[in-house]
Amino acid sequence: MKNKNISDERTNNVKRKICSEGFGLIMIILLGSILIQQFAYQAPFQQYGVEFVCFFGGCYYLIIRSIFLGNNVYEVPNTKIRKFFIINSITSSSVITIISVVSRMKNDTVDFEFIGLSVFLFIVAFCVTYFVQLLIHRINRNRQNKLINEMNKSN
Amino acid sequence: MKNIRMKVARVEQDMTQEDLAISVGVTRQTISMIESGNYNPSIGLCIEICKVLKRTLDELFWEEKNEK
Repeated sequence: MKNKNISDERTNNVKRKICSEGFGLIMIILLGSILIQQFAYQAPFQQYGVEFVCFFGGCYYLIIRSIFLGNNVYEVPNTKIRKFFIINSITSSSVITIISVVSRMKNDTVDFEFIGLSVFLFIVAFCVTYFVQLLIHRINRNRQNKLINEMNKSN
Repeated sequence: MKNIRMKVARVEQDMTQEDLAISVGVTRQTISMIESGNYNPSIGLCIEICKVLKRTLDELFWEEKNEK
């Protein structure tokens, strides 16, 4: 039985799927833990620092590994990518602004400066999110083009 | 879609699902799921099954139009 040592591909696939689901679950729990500690308990950064590093480390690992292997970070066709970035940026900046407004409302009074600062925060968050996504997309596309060129050369 | 041809070939070789599973290095559940059409094996596993059952890939895994 020469193939007795081959590992069962179906079992391996199931194991990978379970690990992937577990990773997703842990990331959601980490994010929840960070947000609750930061905004509900007003905890210092030292208290949730490890979760913070783990969460963003995990996110960066996924993005960097996807880019390195030439996988699409954004599973969206190129024709709809700008629209996708804009919707994503509006959602992210809205969430950031709402969280900031809710946390500041406890201490500050709602006046012209408060509203102005919130609008400014929304615009800055929108621009940063949009350009970061654009940057990741560009790097991703350049890497894919490089891999295609390498394959063409080897052919 | 159920893979009747693989089941027939296995029976013709006088093998149980367990025997075939051991021969190709997978679990019995995997063979059972391939035969019942609940799992699509990789090309590597298909080749191993074909070698053990002494059939070609076409004979065991090629889908005819009327089979879909």
